[in-house]
Amino acid sequence: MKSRVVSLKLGAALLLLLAAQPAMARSPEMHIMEGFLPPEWAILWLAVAVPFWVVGFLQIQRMVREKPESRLMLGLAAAFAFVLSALKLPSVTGSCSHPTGTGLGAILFGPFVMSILGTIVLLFQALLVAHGGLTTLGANAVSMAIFGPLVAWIIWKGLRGRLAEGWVVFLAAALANLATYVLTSAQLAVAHPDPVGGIAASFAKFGAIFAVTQVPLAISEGILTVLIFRALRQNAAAELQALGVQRAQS
Amino acid sequence: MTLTFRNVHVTYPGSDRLALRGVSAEIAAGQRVALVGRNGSGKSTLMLVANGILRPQQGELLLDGRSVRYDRRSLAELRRQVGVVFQNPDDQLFSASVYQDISLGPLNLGLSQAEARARVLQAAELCGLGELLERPTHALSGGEKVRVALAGVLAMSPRFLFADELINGLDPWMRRQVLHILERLSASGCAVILATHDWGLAREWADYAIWMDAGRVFRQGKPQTVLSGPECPD
Amino acid sequence: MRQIDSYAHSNKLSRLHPAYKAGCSLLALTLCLALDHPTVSLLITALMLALTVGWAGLPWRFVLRLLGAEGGFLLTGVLGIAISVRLSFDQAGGLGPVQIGVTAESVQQALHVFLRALGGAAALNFLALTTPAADLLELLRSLRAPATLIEIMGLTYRFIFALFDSLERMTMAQEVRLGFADWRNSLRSAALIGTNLFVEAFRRSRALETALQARAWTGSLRVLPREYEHLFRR
Ligand SMILES: Nc1ncnc2c1ncn2[C@@H]1O[C@H](COP(=O)(O)OP(=O)(O)OP(=O)(O)O)[C@@H](O)[C@H]1O
Ligand SMILES: [Mg+2]
Repeated sequence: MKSRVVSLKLGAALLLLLAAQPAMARSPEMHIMEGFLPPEWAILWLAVAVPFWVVGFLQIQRMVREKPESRLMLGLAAAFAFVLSALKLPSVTGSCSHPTGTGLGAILFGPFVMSILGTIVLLFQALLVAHGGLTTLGANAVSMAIFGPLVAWIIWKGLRGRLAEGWVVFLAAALANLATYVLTSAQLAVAHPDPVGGIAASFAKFGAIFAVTQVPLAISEGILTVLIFRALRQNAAAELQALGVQRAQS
Repeated sequence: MTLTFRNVHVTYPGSDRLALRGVSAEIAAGQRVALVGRNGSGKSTLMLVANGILRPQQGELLLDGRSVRYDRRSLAELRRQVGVVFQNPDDQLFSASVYQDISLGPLNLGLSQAEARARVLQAAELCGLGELLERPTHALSGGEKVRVALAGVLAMSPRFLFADELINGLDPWMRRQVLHILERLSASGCAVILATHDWGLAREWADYAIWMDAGRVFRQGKPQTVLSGPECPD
Repeated sequence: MRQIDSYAHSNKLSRLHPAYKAGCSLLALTLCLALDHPTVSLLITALMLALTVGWAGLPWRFVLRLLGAEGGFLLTGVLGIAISVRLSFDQAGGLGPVQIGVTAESVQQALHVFLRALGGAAALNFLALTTPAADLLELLRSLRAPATLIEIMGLTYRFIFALFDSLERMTMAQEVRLGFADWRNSLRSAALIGTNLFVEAFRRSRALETALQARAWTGSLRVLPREYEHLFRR
């Protein structure tokens, strides 16, 4: 009981303090910058990413063997995700961010293929727009290309047919966005524990702006994804079908 | 060398409307053919048939009088002989640099690296791309992309070159240069089939004209006779 | 984005074999992280800046501006490290049980991380600004990375620019129609653009498939390797 009161107050206090600096260690799309993580953490996150990459790669390998031209599709999907992340996404609070696109990607391709495509996107973001980095590629991949899509995919698979499709897509995209954010905060917190308050304090610190900026942005991304998905159902049903996104049986 | 369409009927996959409904035409080596007709009359579709991408539901395509079978071997042979430059150059450039993109076709034909390299340089020279070889394909102007797409096909040394509205969007100088390239090609024995909405050009450049309408050949023959009369738009 | 890419293609080192540049950059990154010492970080920042400006011949204004922007990000990032939080229940401070402040230790840690990350950014910038992305892929290929992945990455690189052009066109069209005037409109416009972009991407993948087949595609996207300059070979 008591601890909850404390954390609430803690949150409120930090909001005041951190309202002025909404970006923390992230570029606008939540990347951890080059050199920001100590080597042991960089390596650890890389190791976490590897199994997902292996499965994703094997799936892609199979797609390409069955249908060589699916390379084009995959390349375009990655490029689409890259370009989507440059789209201006308005937030209810008036600030502006960019969609992560992980929710949509996971629904279309599944979490493993998405782990590869997302990592390709991260690599090009590091090289072409100087967001993120090479040594932090593993950590960024785990939060943006693996964890977010995984959350979205589980929600999508788990709730389809039980809830209206629009709500499922909304939840998948919004929660994927939040999940990515929370994991990034956690990654920063464990790598840079607060000298006084330890990891918990620093997680609170890195996660404090959560409620003010990130929840509205997640809602925005959720709505955006629903709108896009609905339009795709109407105008690009054949394309969705070709990607294997069938309508839920009801 | 001849390429013959014999009573070709074709629909696009997933559609049940006939895009071509009984097209017959014959193209001989070195010919300069103008392909004209309204939007949607079937010019681009004819090019897809010529290259073996669309397979006729009825009728057939003949290369040197032999009917094209649609197995891997004869398709490869057909594509070696028949090149197509598509309408939108952005849809046919794959590689990061001009040099690499032009090399894609020759390597697909199984040429050695040295041969492919020679082909690339020759085609680039012909299309006035010598200066641009190292440039990334995404940083080219529209007209430059058109010439890269053309060079990519020429590097495969086709005997029949189908070009879909190739000279649209080129400046008058480039247009003259590209027409000059086509001139040289047909002089060297390659048939050039140009789909165009420029009737003036069709009349003066071509030595044969095919006028398509609603998936059929409306008229074909000498440009002076085919492209004149009361049905003409101008 | 285009600016970084175009410098990568036009600097004095753009024809140099990518292994040299990647080696330099990775070595600097490794040193920065492994030694993890503020002096080393500063030295590396200076050295990489010097290489980028002096060796590759990039304009120092641009290089500094880029690093400055990254430094700005980093600054807000390390602020989170500098500010230390403590919960204490026995004394009531200004903010109740929460004490917020900076300690000498936390500031030092923040500065430390800041410099290390700045060195990292300078090293990465050197690579990004001097080496065309396609060369890095070529390097990965020569390091035996799976061909399928390299090809997909190459296509991604090519399509990023094509789709970006479309995005810019669509955004402009929406802005003209006041599509970003308020939150609702902005979101609707963003969704519209996202959808159109998806449809465009899909249409393009179909068109590219056709164009690949027309160029006698055999299943892999092999192109000729670029010819690089070397440092020590004559
Ligand atoms: N991918 C496709 N799927 C289904 N139908 C198609 C497709 N492409 C074209 N068509 C149809 O086939 C017909 C012929 O189209 P085609 O593109 O060959 O015309 P065109 O003569 O090249 O026209 P334009 O001058 O506008 O380029 C049209 O009715 C068109 O609607
Ligand atoms: Mg056409």
